[in-house]
Amino acid sequence: MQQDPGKNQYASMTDETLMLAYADGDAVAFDELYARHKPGLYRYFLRQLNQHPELANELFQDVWMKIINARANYQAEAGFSTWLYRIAYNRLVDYWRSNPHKQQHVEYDDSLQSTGHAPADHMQQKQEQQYLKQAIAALPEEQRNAILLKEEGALSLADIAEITGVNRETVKSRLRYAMKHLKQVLNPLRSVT
Amino acid sequence: MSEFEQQKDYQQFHKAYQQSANELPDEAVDAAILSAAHKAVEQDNVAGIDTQPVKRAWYVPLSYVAILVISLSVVMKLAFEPVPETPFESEKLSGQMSKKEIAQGKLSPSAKEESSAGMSADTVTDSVVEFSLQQKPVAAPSQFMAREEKIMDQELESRSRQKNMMAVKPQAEQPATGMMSQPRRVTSADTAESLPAVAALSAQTTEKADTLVDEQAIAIKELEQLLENKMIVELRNKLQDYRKKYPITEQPERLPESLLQWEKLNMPENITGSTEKDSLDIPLTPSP
Repeated sequence: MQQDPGKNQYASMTDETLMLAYADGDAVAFDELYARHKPGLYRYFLRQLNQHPELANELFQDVWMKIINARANYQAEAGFSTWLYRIAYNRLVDYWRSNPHKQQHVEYDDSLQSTGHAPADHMQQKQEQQYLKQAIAALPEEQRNAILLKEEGALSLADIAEITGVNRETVKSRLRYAMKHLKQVLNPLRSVT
Repeated sequence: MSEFEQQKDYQQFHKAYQQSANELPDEAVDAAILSAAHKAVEQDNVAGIDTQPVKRAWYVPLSYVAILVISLSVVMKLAFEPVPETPFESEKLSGQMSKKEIAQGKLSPSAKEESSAGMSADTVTDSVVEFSLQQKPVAAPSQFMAREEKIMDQELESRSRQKNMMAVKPQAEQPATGMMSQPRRVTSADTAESLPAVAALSAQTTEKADTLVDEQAIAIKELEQLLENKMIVELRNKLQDYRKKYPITEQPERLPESLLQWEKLNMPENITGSTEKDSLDIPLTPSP
């Protein structure tokens, strides 16, 4: 299968260069940028909003529209990922402020992991993924936010600290607590298999 | 890789999470976002909007610096320019004429012009000064002379102020020819040129008065010595000459009391103006 040479050119460019190119009027640069960050950003919203795809789509679209409208103000000194997820985080905070009743805590169901028998491989994998998503949703808000920014945004501890407005050690502590909770979910599953 | 990422638990979680991460947004949302992005760029190209931050041209900061330098230089020039307060000071500053030159009559051409032709506003004062110089030189006590000098200085100072005002006024009334035109500031040189005649007259007066005071003092001293030595004939002659020079009616008397007493007794014509001769029989000093 022959690849488009123009697309290859954009694939080798950094996020920052692509954003600057888009700000200069290169729409194809935006296509590449969007393709890179679309899945991660969408999943960030999806996990934060308790697996509500409609809400996740709405906020996801809002964030990209903000990126498009603010293209002229973008400066290459700030990493694109940090900029993108800062906008996403702020949008999420705004949403929760305007809809406090929708920010409900999800309890993890222990009965799901104590079936006592080993399922078939694909079933077991699917079940494990389901448990993991549920465990993430059950995390306290700060821990969930930290682990999702780490996983979906591939951000450093310093970047997460900058976005969430806390220091680096606090982020590290939140991630450790989050891992402690998730380990409780993951280990029994593995011991069963 | 950070310390946190190196943990075994995290690596397990990461692997499991990435396997589960397969959700994607709706295609409709994708299409809407991409079309909005393309549309925005097309609108920019049509409208010709420059989305880049405005870059300042090099000449903008340069112009700021130039304005600053010009303003500072003007302020410095105005702040540190010496403004003479008296005509004599102005002469020192301008360095055009020394006091002696003025006294000797070496006036600058402009000064001569002004002294001969101009100064309509000061005509009265000029005539007063000239009159005082034309008068017969009279001897005066040092206190009197000092007071007279003071009055003369005050007069000259007030005249210099008037001159300054007159020099500024007509220039301010001139129409402006450009952005930089403004009323000319009166400099020390202007003041020095406008008042040389007055300064010359003042110097002459002062010098003459000094000479007179000295001569009179010497004469009085001589008379006192003659009286002390009882050289009556010479005393009478000298006193006669003294009175010719310094009549008693025209000024405050400077002769000491002893000489005045002797004059009253022996030469009453000097005081009363009568021509009748006094007798010489009146004793010079009371006999013991």
